[in-house]
Amino acid sequence: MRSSRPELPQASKRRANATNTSVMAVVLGAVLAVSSSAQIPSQQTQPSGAPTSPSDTQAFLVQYCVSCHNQKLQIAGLALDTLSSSSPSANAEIWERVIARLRAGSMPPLGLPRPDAVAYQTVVDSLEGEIDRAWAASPDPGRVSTVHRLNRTEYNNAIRDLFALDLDVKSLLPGDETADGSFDNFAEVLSISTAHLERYLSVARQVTRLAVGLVPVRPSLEQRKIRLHVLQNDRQSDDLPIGSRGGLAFRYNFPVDGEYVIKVRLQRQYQEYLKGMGWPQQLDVRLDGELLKRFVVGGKAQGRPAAASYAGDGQPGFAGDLKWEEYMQTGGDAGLEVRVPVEAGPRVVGVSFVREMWEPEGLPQPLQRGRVITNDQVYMGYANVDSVQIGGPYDASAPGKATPSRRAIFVCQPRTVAEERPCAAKILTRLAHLAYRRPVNPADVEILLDFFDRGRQDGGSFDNGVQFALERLLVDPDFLLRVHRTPTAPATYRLGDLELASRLSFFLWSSIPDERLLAVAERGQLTNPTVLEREVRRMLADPRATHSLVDDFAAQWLNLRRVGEVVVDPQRYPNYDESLLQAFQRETELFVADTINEDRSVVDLLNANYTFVNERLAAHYGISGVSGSRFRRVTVPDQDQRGGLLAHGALLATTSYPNRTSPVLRGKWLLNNILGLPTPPPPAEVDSSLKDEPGTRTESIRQRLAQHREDPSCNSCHSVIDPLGFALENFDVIGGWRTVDESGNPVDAKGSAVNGTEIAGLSGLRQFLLERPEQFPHTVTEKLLAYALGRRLEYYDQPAVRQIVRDAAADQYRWSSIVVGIVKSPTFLMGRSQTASN
Amino acid sequence: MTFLGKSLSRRTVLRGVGATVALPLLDAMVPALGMRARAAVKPAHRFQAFYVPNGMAMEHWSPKGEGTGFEISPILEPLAPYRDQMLVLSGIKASWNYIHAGASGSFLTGATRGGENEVDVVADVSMDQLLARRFATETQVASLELSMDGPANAGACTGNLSCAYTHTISWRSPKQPLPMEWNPRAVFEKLLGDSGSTERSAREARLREQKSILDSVSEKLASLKRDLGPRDQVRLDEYTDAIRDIERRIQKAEEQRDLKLPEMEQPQGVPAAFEDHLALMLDLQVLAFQSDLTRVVTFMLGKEQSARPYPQIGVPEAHHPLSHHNNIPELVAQMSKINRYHTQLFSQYLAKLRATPDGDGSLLDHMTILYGSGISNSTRHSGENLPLLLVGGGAGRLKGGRHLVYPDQPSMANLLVTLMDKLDVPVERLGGSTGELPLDTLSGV
Repeated sequence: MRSSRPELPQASKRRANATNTSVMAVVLGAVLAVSSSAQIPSQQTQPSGAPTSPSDTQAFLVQYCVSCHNQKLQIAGLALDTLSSSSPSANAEIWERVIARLRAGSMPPLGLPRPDAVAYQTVVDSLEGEIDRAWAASPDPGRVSTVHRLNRTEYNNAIRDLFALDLDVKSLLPGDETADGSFDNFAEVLSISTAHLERYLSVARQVTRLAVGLVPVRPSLEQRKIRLHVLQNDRQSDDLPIGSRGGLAFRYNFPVDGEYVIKVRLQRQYQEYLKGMGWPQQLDVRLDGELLKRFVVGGKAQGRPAAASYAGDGQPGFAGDLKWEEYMQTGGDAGLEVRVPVEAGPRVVGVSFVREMWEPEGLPQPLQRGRVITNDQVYMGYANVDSVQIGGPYDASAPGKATPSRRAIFVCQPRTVAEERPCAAKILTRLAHLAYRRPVNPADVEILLDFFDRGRQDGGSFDNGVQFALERLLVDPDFLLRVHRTPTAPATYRLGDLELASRLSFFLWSSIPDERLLAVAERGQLTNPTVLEREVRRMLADPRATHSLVDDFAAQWLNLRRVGEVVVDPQRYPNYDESLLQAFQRETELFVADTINEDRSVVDLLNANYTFVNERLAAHYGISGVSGSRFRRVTVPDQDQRGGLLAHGALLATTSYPNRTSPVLRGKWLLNNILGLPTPPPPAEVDSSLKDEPGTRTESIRQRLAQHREDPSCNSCHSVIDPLGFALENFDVIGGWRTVDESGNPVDAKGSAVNGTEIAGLSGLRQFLLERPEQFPHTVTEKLLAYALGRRLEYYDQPAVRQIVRDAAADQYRWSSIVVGIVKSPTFLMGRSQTASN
Repeated sequence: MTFLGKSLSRRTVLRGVGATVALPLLDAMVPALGMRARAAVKPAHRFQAFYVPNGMAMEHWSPKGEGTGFEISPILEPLAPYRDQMLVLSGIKASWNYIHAGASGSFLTGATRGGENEVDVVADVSMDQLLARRFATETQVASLELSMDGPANAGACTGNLSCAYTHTISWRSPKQPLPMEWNPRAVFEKLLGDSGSTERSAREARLREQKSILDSVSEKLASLKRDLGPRDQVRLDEYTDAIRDIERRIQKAEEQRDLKLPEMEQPQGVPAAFEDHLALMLDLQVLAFQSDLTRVVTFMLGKEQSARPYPQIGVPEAHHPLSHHNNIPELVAQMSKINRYHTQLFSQYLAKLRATPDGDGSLLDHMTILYGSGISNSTRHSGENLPLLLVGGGAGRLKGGRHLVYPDQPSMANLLVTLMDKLDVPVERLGGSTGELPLDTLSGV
């Protein structure tokens, strides 16, 4: 690694972005209102070749910077006159702040003399060049905190990989520490509380009992509920038959062979009347696609019904006959249950109606929100599934013989009592090897065998013994913690093969290494660059990589985990429902996954001419010719209105308020996640001299924000944030295209970028971003590197980021080029010992 | 509390003697079940924090008048039935006034500052945790930390700081914020065990299993610690502390093996509707207090900076953006609906506490509940004149029915120190405290 020294940076391939929050706090906070004449130099104007001489840089600084940033004034805490610009690497922390400002085009401030574009570029090149050369000669890889707890996702994935068990236990574990612009895998903040250990103990028991297939202590009842405002007027899942409507399909792990009850409950409206009882509808219950039973629901109400609108609250005269009431409240979905013998293992339970066409008449009513369905015109509508319960096992016979998890665990089966302990040792050695991510020693196995013995004795069977040993394994510090042992000397060192294997698998799979990766590492081959790259490419090709890079990395980077938190005002947006929100999330997941699977340039995330939609989403986006609930790739008809992440509903909805768009949230999102310029939080201090006088209501959001920016303490940042967000004003709260805004005025989507460049609308914003081709890859690289390491990036990581981006440029910034670049970077391959200072 | 049924109540004894002096312990006062002496002799004094987010519509909160004659305000009106067990506190200032992070981050810690960036997580030990340390010797569960919101998803926290500041009010150490549990099922298992059975033998067998696992993990941890330098041991110390906590709990559970636990159906998960979820969470809290499984609960009705809308009361707007109302009277009035809805929900909870007998009175008589928010006027994140209540009989240590106004803006940290005193766990200092706050004198009367 050290031998492949970076070449001199090609100036045209770079654009620095600050990672250090404090850096950008100053960039955004101190500067602003940069005129469009003071734009950052474009790439075409800069000279190629060697950097300028240090004396030129010094002259530049004297001319443009030190009149404020000197020892006496120290504006923004900077005294550039005291530093040597000929060896900026000696004070890289400070110079990276300067570089970030110059790259953003935000210094010197408006009104003061500004250098020309060429001078700008040469100075930045000179500063970066020297820092990068010094770094290449002696890279500082930084330090990840020694003890690194698995987060919920990693724990869950590890369980999946150890036991071949597809189970979501995340909701049973405490949340992981995180922060805006951060990831939930940063070692430094992942703590271990009593609550964590309590949950680990509890989950370990549940998971291992299920994986081993022990007969549950007693039958359990589990429920899957459909969220109230998810539409059920179409086929809901690829696991349900074509020609079905509504309901749900889900994978359920049947713990043992035995009898189970599958029970369906239908949706009720606000007066507890079942929906759709006015006509007969067919309801199917399936297991692994096979029809277990077909019920007919509805159409059997007898007696006098309640008033047609169900008006009133059940007083005499409003309620129906007792018979009718009973049918509508309880009888209509009584007895929707099947009791069947099921073989242990994961199986798909499907509940759906046979589709019969039905068209609503009159005006569509706004979909409601809250805990009840208040729409009362539902007697002749569709019946909907509320929830499905699975009870059991009853008459449990025996553990399933061939569940995937039993096959994964029981690599041997003892035929005699004498064979039990050796077989248990074999099973536990293999699983401990994977779980501890290192070769196991006899002491490790002895501890587990001790628990095998206890379980064997207390539970009375071989399986009980294995289960208890595995329960112990799952709370072992060697499983729950990644311990990065560091030598005391030298100051920096290369990671060993085993540590590298873990770092790689937690990066690409958010999980433990597989047997092959461990084997390569244990042979000492992983640190060989050729082997390493081969393994990276193998792991990237594994579906686990896409899964984890989408659900873990991209979901956090792009705030996809917040889609479920979105709330929309149904009065203003009657065309909104939860199916739409679910579609938003799916769209972005499929889109990002597609770019990874096809190994596209990350720039395609911004300017792709395609996206993924189902009928619901296509209708929302105004794309014709898409029917059904299945998602498919479509070319967007008008690239000024769609195409790329910036026009995705998930982004637009998570940056809006329920009843209006928020240029502030959108501007901030763009700065943080696309431009790589973290915004500082609002000023802390409350100026108590300012009286809390009633403000006045303004109609347009532009006016309101303009008023906000009159406050100098707000203006310093919001003059940068807001104008960027204005560019997306053509998208409403739920990402629909609009030409008229909330206040009834024509949409004005004119905004501006940090350096003052005017941008108009989606296409203007996209064009601005594409004109600086390395900027977005730089942001992606920063985010992905921090995620890969599990730590916050610091100023000393900037040379590594620049190098990865430069190298990836030659490969059009493909996903694989950035991933391989990260893995081959000294920052990933090395560590800093604890005693070394930075 | 049926298991106390046969014992002689303290009040009965006092009536007989007709004295107000402290009495020696009489055998007759020890309850029928023997091991529960402490509860009968002196009902435990429990503490609860009940946090509401995003400040308050102060115009609709602050009562007119001081002392006993105050006029109840629209937001406090749902609490009128509890007036004589309620102290309204005005004029207290947040110890760390920093946007939203400071509001919740300092609420129980009295901290005066937070971290510098996303990974610098620092406040101070919160008062509930100081109490928990003390009460851990007597109850199975040292403390409960509960919330109505799920774990943080980055993107809606206070910029550049850990989401911990807005998502929890409990800090075990200055560097360890505690996760708040929102899944009723996990709370249930914490209180009543995860054996999957309510039978005593199954519960006890499970405790033994856990104990053997913890013993073994402890040994392994000790050897791991020897491998690492002292600087790296902090996280492992957390792990060791967690093991000790659970071991102590198992031991307590064994000691209190005759403790009758109320029947409750195990919740399956987090109900979709806010009201259903809240009802379960509050029932679990009553259960925990009632059976004396714990004496310390922190509860966030909403995480700080919560954007939850309340369409059920005619507020479809998201709470947090609405709280930046620019002092426009209609918007303030709209937000006050949320504030009042919260006091209504709180009042329903108080009703349950009052209806639950405990020793010679009700649970509420033996509780001190700190209700409030870490922000007053939310539009500018003001930390002055925080909206705060102390509710409950405080086991005879709180005199309600008053509105106290502190003219010189004392720090919230001082109030926390005073509360520690009231709970008989005196501390010299808490966070940035500079002294105590007079609660017992009537101010302005």
